[in-house]
Amino acid sequence: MALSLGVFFIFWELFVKYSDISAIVLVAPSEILPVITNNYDTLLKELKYTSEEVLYGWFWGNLLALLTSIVIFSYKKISDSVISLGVIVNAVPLIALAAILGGFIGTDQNAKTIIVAILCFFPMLIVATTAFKRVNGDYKRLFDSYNSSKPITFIKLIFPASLPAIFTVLKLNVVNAITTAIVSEFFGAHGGIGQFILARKGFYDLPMVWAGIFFIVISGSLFYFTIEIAKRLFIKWN
Amino acid sequence: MQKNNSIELKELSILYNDLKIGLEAVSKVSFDVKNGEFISIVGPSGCGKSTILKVISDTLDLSYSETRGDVKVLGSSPKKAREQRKIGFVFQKPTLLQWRNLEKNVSLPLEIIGLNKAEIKKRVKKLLKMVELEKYASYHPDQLSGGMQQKVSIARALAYDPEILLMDEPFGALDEINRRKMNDELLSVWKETGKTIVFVTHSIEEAIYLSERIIVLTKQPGRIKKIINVDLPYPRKKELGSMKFYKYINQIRSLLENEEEIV
Repeated sequence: MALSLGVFFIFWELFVKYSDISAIVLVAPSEILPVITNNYDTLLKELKYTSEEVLYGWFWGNLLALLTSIVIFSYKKISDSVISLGVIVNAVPLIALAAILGGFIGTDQNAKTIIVAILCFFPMLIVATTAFKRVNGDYKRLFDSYNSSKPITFIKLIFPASLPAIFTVLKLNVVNAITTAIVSEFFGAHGGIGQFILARKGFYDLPMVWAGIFFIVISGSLFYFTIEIAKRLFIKWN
Repeated sequence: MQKNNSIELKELSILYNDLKIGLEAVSKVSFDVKNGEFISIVGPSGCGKSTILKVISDTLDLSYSETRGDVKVLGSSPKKAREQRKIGFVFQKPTLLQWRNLEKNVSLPLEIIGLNKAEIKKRVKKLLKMVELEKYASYHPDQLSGGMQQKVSIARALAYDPEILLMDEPFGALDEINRRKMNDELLSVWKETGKTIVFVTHSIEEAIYLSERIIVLTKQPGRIKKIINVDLPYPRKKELGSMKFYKYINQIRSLLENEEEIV
């Protein structure tokens, strides 16, 4: 992976150097690197701002969705209608709401965290509820034949059997959360990488814009792979 | 107790009211299973063999179906028998929990019952020894062959010492040689434990090899075509090529073939 990344950057560098591409469109890595080292502290501060929105939003969105899906799952009669409603809500590009949500809940960091949480909530709600419901009937019959109580069946069967699906959404929601945080910062914020990128773009300070993008890409990837590693630790059997 | 019936079915009918079609899966089936008996049910696919097992074990989803008639398991209702954990179930697939090793899979029902750890350990060790898998206690299911996995699921079904073992085509996915091996091991488990076994299969030969009596069902809706006493001494390895064995095969085959012709 390090090798392919290296090749990618060399290719990028050579491409910018030997083609007529305008600096407004693409900046060479050799120009971005010094900008990063010179503005490291500023970038780190903005990154921290955004990361807090991403982490807290991701955490609460997923957690609340999981708790909700457990409640929905235990009331079989409502679960089907809630799932269809969730699918409809999920099909709406909620991110568009970021443009107007600012008017309702403000533009501070907490507001962004809430938007991130909402965007993470619905995918997890649908996938978790569906995964709980889809556990093979023979397994459920097995637990019934042990006269197992519902909570025990949930803890020992339904939840572990649904973990692969849950982890898939946890990973997807990392990307989801970062996108949401950045985009909602575009619509007005008091800090963060998204706001930073927008402001620097206004000055045509493109190496700075690219530096911002670099920072969020790297930290996003780290977050993503952390979840991937956690998944491999938890789900050795898959 | 020895001469009592483990299971009594009187005019059991099962209706699927799924999609409001009102399909009859099983029609007025009556039979008894004696204590400690090995009985098999054979019949064309869709005749309701598996559904009968689900009724006996009280695991049929009643939101899509209803039953009529009377079913007694150890003198009481199937529900009561299930609640008292009198029934062990072995499915066509091993249905092991992939995230647990063999030891933990066998101990699952005992954990749910709430036995203490020392007792669980003792029992699991004994059970794994019985199915000759004690060396593999720490392996995970995906590291084992299908036959070995099915042996684990049999050990698991026996863990809480139920009086009745219901088996739904447990060796259907195995190749001929492994199936024969598993048949022998099942017979030795039966001999060792004296459990009542109801065994569903679509293999005529397997049914004759294993059981004392065979219930032949008609095509859907499943009715009893005939109940056959298999009058062959155990172990039946030597009987495999005998005339008598073939007579049973032919008898059951023609019973089932007549069924197919009606279609």
